[in-house]
Amino acid sequence: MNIIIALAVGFSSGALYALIGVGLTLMSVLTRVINFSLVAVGVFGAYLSIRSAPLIQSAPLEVQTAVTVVIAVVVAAVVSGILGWIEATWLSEATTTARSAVTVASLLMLISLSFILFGSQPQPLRPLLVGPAFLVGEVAITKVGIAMLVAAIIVGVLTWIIVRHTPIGVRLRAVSDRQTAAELLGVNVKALQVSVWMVMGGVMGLCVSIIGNTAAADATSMITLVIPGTAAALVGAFKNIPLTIVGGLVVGALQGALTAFPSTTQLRDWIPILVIVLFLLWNQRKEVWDVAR
Amino acid sequence: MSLASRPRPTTRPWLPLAFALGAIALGAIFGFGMPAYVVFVATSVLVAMVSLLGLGIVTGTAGMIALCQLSFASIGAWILEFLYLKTPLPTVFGAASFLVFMLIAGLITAVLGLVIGLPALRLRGVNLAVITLGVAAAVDTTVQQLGFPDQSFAHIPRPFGLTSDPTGDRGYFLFAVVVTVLIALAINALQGSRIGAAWKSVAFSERGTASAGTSVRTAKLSAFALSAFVGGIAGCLIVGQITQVNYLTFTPINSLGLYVLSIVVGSQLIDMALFGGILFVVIPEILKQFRVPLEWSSVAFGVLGIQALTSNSNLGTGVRAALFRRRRLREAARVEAAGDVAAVETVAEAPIPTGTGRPLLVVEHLTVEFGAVKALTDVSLVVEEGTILGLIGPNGAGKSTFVDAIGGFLPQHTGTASLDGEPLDGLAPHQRARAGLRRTFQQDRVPPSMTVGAYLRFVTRGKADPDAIADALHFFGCPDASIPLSVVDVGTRRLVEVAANLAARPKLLLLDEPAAGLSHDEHLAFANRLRRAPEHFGTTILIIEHDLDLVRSVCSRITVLNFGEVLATGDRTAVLSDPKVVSAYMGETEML
Amino acid sequence: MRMTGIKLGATAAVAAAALILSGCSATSGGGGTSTPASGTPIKVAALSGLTFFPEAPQAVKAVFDDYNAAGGFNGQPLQYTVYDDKTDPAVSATAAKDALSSGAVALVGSSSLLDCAVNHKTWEDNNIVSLQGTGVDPFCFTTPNIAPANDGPYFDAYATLYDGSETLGYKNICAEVVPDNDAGKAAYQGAIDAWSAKTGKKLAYSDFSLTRGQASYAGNVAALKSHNCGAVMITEVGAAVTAFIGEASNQGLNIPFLVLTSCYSDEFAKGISYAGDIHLPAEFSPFTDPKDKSNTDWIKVMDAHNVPKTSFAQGGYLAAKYFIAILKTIKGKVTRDSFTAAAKAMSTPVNNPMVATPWIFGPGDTHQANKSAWPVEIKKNTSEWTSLGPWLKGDEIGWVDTKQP
Repeated sequence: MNIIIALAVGFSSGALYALIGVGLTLMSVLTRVINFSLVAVGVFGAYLSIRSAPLIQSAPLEVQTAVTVVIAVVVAAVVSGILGWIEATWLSEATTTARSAVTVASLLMLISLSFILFGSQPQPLRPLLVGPAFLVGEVAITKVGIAMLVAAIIVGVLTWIIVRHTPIGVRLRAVSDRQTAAELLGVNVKALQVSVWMVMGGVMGLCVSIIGNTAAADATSMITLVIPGTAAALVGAFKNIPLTIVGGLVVGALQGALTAFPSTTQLRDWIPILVIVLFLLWNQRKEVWDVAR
Repeated sequence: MSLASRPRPTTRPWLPLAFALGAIALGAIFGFGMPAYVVFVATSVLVAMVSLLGLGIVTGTAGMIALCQLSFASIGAWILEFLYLKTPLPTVFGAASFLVFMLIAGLITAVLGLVIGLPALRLRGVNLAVITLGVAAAVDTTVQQLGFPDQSFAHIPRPFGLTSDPTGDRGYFLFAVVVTVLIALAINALQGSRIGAAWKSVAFSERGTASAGTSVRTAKLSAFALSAFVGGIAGCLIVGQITQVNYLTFTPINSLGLYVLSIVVGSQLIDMALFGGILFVVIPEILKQFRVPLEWSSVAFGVLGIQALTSNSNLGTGVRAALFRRRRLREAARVEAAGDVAAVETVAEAPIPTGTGRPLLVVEHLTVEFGAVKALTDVSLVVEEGTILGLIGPNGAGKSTFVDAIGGFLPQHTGTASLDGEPLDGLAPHQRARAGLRRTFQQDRVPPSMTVGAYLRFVTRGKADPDAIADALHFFGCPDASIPLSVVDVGTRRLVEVAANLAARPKLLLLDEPAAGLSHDEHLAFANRLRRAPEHFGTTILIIEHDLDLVRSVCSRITVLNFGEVLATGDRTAVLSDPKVVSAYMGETEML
Repeated sequence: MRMTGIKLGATAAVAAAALILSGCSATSGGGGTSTPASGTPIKVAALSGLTFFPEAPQAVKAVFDDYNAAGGFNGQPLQYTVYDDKTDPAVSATAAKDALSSGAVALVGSSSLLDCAVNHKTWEDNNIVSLQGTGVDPFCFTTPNIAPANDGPYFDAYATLYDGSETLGYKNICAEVVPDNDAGKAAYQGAIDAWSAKTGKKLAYSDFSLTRGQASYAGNVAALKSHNCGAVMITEVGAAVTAFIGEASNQGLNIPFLVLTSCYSDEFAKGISYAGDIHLPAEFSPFTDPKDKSNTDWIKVMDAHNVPKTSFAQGGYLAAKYFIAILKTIKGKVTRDSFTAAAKAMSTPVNNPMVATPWIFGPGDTHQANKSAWPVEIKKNTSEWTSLGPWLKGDEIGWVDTKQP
């Protein structure tokens, strides 16, 4: 198998990381937090949604799927919203570090709660998209991969439009830049921020419902998926969405290529980190002092 | 003699040592008196405590998020096992092998911590958290694939020939107690030293740290490397306790749990690290008794972690605040009394200092642009050695931007600046500070987590002896060196900042609105002291102020900025009566 | 202080929630004994990675509770305590000491990825035996004081390969193995070599690079495709196999999969929809087969005590039954020493229709009594298990016992 094909192998997971990375970048810019629990709320919502299966057994399959997905999105949005409400209420003036630390604690909580409530067996979370979209030589470009990439691009573009060209966008930018000033101007900071949390949570709930137990078979995926997602966002320095998408695809490609050659197995998880760090060192070579500190 | 300079009861340097010996004695009694199972569990408490001590340095003191503490432990454990099983060194060191290998493992882990920390700290803020999480995952996979050298088959012998039976367990507990106590002593000493002050400062304000002459990167890296060292030691202690390990002991989720616990208890405090270790082990034990699945302990830690972060306190500071409340009230009262006395003290009026005539700071064509906004345009000025230059102007004129640029925080500026003939361009802020350029800040950048004296030692980089420090404090009527900054009000903290920077005997000191927050009487006293400062400390001063009375009373020359440009510069009286300056200030009630 | 009040409140709330929810959670273990038998309790312990393997000890508890209700051992109730080892060697060693200091006479139904490796010497040093409910690492099958009720992954791997190549006729079988450590890797390799020796066939491709918690199997699946595999044997646990097969689906594969017993559960089947067959040699008789009669009592006991019905629960049930069988041979007081002696002196094996090879402890240095498996499958594009049979018995298919690593 040649290297080009090996890189294409990782497209599916790379697209997923790109979407997660976009979510993380948006939350970083709009709510000043690196939300380590971003994937966790989506997974939690999805796992809870499949518990509804016995109640809707009699309905036709499409209706069942639709109901399950809606529940997943809503639950994920609610859980994420609660987290956002905690942040907006008590940590509105805190540093990004403190705000992010809360999401570390909530990640821990969500993983443990998931094991307690849903057990340790593989979750019957059927992927909504299965199979290859088309073939590149021997390698399949999966439907789910395309869906994730499209989602990442749509989320990125939509947010760009909203932030730059709508009144709500102006308020969002004001809140993320100078929260106290925005508050004094009458902007409902808390509502705006909680909305961002809820929307991102809902997006993750949808995303996890689509990828199913291929990538999220049990609760440890809450942490396994967010790590390459943060790596993708890091490539964009938590600011630049196109770079984040590229970063996610690169991480996925590297991962796929290295897994396909078992002899490189021990480098597998280090090469993405190295690549990202080297890239960032070059990209951020002009040291900038954080205005806030 | 003012209250501020009354001699304090001398700090007792032997106290930590006494505590240490007491702890070891207590440990010996515990280890040989309690049932074997309790002793074995207590060893786990100590291991957790050591890990938390390491985390406490990097998260509690230096304020960074580090999510790979157990990865350091696994690396340390791996190196120890490797040295034992794959090298002929055990025959060389004999019974002391474990100790020697443990130290080597700690050092190598520290170096690896540096390697990880170096690039991460080149980036800003919370990016370190992301990198450490990635490292945790990568180390987990690598260690899983490589396997530990024991391969679940060999057993690592305990130190000094201790056996694996209950008697050996007790002996090993004592060994762990000694190692933990030594680490705690070392960390305690470091926390009180300039390195510890650097960590606390960098957690509070990176700019404040840099302008005090300490490299932010060095401060953060040293914290990270030390936490890696301690983490490696913790890993070795685990190996000694159970003689075999595998990757499941060191998973990223456990690192997350440890991090959250560190925040909950505030493990930069040694006693809180012990408490955290106890929680880490005892909570699961309690859950076991009630047949509750152990995952609930993680849920509990998560909830407590969120609670600690939202209330911006932790168990450690909470308990301390409760215990030491009365002492703090006393100290606060003393600070107030000292302040009152200082204000009432009359000192002979000093004249406005005249300089030597030699230009000290030469700034030419300084321009700073932020995108389309021109904050400073073609600003040139000269500060004469031994004088006080006033930099005034309406809000938004660019005064703070000017100080930021000279201080090195705006490397994108054009134009040149030189201090005492040496160009400042290209120097980082901490390098400029070491070259003799100091500045204070408009916002409070004095970290409240240390004492006044520790702060002064930090800012003067250890070059001022206790007498010089006491002299600087007395000069400005500041509280005594042993008072913690957390009980000092903001206005007085700014005075401490000024005193500290002067005590460093810089060539040039840039003061950014130092008198904000002082009462009228304090303004007068401050002005008086400021006039004597150039002669007393051998320093030239540039002061930004809105209080024109203050400016008029201390400065010989004044430069006026308006909309980023120099409006007028020259002798004090001439500038203040210049019609251009008057019309720029039209409407300002402070005029005339 | 208000802050401390909030903290205490938060802790109390969590504690209360924990106690309440532990009743509803999947891994609850119940508490204490309930027994009309009222003599001195006989203490029995188990070590378990409760996060991943809770069912075996739960099944043991169910059996013991019924036994106690029926009068126990000559009026003496069995007092069963499970120690969570969190699949962590440090915790496992601690749990072992805890179990020993509590006065247990034997360990019954232990199930963990590593407790045999970590603790077998401790058992030997303290003259206590362990009847594993779910033995996984090689030391469960190769040390004198441990005798598992289950087949273990190495026999299972052998059986699934043999079934694949001989019964089902698959050619070019490829293997995906998660080795865990050198000992596990050697044991799996031993099973593969034994299969090669017996059948004369070789694997077309083997990949030993899988790690637990791997984020994506895309690369592994792609490598499989390039080797033209006729079938894939994978040794991972249920959740990982689900992800792997999902990835295979995504890449358009439909070759059959040969998996191990940890996948034998209704949840696994419900979560899978694959275009190829999935074959599995179950470690005990198939409980999903409505025509099967051997599991009737087991099903009754599990349902009565709300234990999830999985292959691991079968192992726990059997371990409990074996324990009681040995207990009955003891004359005089039941102590750790007398139980160990009785176990090692066992000469009559115990028969149970849930297994094809009778179980015995006996005096040997190794104990691998259960060497039988019952083939089941998930037919392509379905989501439920179908029973195939007949028994694959170790002696008949040429199984060679795992060697001590």
